[in-house]
Amino acid sequence: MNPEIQELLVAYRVVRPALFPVLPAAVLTLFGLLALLVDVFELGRTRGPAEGETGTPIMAPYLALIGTALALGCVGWQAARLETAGGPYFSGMVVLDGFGVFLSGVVLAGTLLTLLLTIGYCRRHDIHLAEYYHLILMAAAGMLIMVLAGNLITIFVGLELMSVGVYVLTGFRRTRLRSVEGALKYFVLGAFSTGFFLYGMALVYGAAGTFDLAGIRDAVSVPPASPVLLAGVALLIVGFGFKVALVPFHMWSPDVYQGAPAPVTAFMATGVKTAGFAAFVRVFMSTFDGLADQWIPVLWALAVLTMVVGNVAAIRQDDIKRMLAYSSIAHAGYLLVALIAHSDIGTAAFLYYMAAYTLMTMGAFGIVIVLGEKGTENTSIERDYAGIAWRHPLLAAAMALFMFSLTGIPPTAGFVGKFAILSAAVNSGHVPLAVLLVLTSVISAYYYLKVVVSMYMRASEREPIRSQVPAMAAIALLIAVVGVLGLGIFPGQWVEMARASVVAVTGLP
Amino acid sequence: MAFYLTTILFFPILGAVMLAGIPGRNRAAIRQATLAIAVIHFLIALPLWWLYAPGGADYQFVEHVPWIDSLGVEYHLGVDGVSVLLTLLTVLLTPLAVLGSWRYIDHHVKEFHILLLVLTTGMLGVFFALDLFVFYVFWELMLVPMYFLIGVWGGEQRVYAAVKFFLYTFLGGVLMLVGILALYFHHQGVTGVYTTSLADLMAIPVPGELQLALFLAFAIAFAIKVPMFPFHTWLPDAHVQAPAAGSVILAAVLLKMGTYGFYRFAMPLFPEAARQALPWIAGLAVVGVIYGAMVALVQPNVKKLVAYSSVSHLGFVMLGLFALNVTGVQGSVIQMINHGISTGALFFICGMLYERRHTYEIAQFGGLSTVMPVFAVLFMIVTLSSIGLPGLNGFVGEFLILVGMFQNHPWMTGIATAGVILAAYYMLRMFQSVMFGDVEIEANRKLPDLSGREVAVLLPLVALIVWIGVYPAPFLSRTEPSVDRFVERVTRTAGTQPAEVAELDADEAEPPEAVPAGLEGRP
Repeated sequence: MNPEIQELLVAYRVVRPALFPVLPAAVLTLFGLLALLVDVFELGRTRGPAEGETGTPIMAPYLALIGTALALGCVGWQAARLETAGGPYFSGMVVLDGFGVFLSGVVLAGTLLTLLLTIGYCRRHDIHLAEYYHLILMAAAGMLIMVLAGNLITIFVGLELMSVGVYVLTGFRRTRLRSVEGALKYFVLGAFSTGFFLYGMALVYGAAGTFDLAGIRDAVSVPPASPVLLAGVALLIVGFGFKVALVPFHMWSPDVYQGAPAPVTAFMATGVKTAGFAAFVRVFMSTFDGLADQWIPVLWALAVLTMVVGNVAAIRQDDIKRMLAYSSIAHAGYLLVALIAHSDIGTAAFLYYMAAYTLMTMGAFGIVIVLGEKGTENTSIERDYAGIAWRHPLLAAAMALFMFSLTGIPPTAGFVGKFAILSAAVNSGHVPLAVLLVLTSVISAYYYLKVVVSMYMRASEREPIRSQVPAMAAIALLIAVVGVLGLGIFPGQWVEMARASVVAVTGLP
Repeated sequence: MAFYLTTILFFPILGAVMLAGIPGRNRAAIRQATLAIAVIHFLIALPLWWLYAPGGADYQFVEHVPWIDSLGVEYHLGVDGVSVLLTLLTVLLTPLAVLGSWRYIDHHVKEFHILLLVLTTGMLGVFFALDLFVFYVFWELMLVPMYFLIGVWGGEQRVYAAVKFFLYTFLGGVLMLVGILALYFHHQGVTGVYTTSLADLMAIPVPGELQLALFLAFAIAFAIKVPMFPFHTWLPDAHVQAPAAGSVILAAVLLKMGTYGFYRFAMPLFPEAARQALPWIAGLAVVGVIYGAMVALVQPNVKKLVAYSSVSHLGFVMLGLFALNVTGVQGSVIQMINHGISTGALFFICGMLYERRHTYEIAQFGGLSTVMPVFAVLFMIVTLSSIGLPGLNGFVGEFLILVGMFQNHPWMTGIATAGVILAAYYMLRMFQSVMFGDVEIEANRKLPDLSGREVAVLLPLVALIVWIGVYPAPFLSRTEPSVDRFVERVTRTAGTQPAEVAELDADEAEPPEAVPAGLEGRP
């Protein structure tokens, strides 16, 4: 055998175990590149997405689906082997732990649902570009890297991989003004926030002398904290706050959510938020654990602002994507409460809520996507949603379920999630925050009910929406419905899983 | 009898699933099927009346299955005498509600009946729950179908009324949720065990300050539901806008969930706080009695009048509960049932008037007794029952409540009695304007009298009105042991002998006198 190949094989045997934690991300990347490659051989076809032009369906969506399903399988494998294979990899750049694996599952489930919903959407709007699927897979790979990151550099690389993909996806309907506007806004503000994040990293590095999360924790555990370090932490909060859309760093999100193609919005609302929060929670719960007294008041104020502003601003929205944008801001506030609880119960609540949130938000966007027509997305709650309950009873019932779940009405996943977060807050003595959470939930009930009111209690004044639910989208919606109800009625094992997943995060090497 | 309660609880859901299989066009089949389901449900639950042994265990037909182990939540059901009566009231009213909306509901018939059945499950769950988590789940669950019933099938202002109803109840509910969690962690702090079981939580006394705060969190949720003055503003809207069947269920069962919440959860869990809050709550109850009656007095709209009379009647129920003696609480419990029957019947009657004339305005009627004699008789009995005429059910409840309350708080009782007099005034005046005099409006001349179906709706209720009025003993004997335990629990101070109770009551007799004196002028 060729000695060079033999050398390579030896090297592979050495490297192979180390690849285990990044396997899902690697699979995604592989299939993402494959999608582009296959596209080259489909040159004869017409390409979209110019208006009025009809393109030919392509292979890429199916490759993307297979890739995501395989990656999800890999995550399952990781979960099964966590006992023996858990721990730091690549000199601590990547950490395989229950927390990360749980959230990897959530991210990939979100990606899978996005893809299922995207395929019908793209066919309807004649977007037949492999790049679209490539970007989704690459962004998802970035999310997985963020979720498992054990080092600020890794977080940053994951963040950028994810963000750049989503910037482009936002502007994908380039003939639409809103889409382009959203993309530009997202890109400019995103780049700006990346600057904050990098500056924060640099300051933390200055104070701790390392980028390694465990290393930083050891370095900063001796009080008093230096001003440089605190400034770095503050800047990191700004950076994360932008990605997960905390008030006052949320300005971009309504415009971007409204402008982006609906499946991309769904992807942003779930995947980007999950990945952003994953890194956020990991860094603050483990690395800056010793500085809790300093960051809790800051996050406390941010949580109050986020819950109040997000919920109040959502009341006035008529565009459902915009309303869901504000709603996802509000939910970021709830998730922040779980972080502020600063306890294992809080982190478990965070994990559970993330899963519940992904399912119900995906479901809600799924309905929005399915109700779109060629050329228009039909997003006005007052006009387009009026009376659809009697023409599309199943879709309306599913939407009502997601709205009630987002409100937090039992027996849905949203209720158990809110229950978990509330109990974490009360247990840590943050009763005022818990009360504020439930009061703002009452506000949220108003705007979620607005959708239900429109669907069930108003007569339609426009010509009926001619919408056929593509099979793939039907599967996605079914998964979301079953998930929302399943997590709500039999939450036991999921709560258990979230609790078990926490043990590892606090035991960061 | 394993899973007897579960069978009762989920049978309507099963029925709803079956109903979903019938095509929506086939309205007659849907109505008949729902009626059959509701009647079978009633027959399944009816044996509770005999099977429940008043002298037996505190809670009977108990079911205990682990649900969410990691949170210490168990699927824990059981009934005592009070929940048995409320359960029977609920299962009796559901078939009547189906019958009562036979013609009233003419669009989306299938969805209406499915929601009605789901609502039944939600209400029963509240009466069966012996675990706070289970209770909360059903408490919120029942909101959703009611919201749809009002919002889809209601009157002109239905959307406003539905959303208001939802938001008010939800607001109270979530505050209670925070209270439940605080209690949960307090219990865990003392015993190291996570549990939401009512019995376990009751076993650990809660320190004073916390107890008062938690009592408030629970009390607000229940007070909104009752509704007590000043949390009652959702009620007239919801009642007036809801379809007939919706109003009936709302008045007859949903409002009882508030008073039942006080009886089952708020007061036994936090007895000391309940005694501290007594003057205030009893004061508000008296205000509610008078205020509801005065507002009912000026209503030009039959349905609104009945709605406000509910505020007044529920004030009596609250007064009885806070009398904190067996007589008063017994009266209160029997009055819950009475109000369910009488006001339920009154709302059916409103629906019958509306079906004929499409208006609730009192001025639009007059002289109906000559046109509709059968209707006149039944309406008269129901009206008199609502007033509290001796020999009919309303009297038994109000009398016991006033006797019970008089022993501790004579002043308040005196003021509340005015509510009885006012009730006679507004009910009789309404009855007179609608039924007596000459027929002045042409459209009223040819109104058809009650059909057999409508008589079938009212007759069971009228029979109960007379039965409870003449011979309430079977009802009272079923609730007595449970009420005894309740009173014992609420009046006993942790770690002291019951002997001191008398002293405590004497101490507290003072502030209540001051409260109503101040509040007297408000309505």
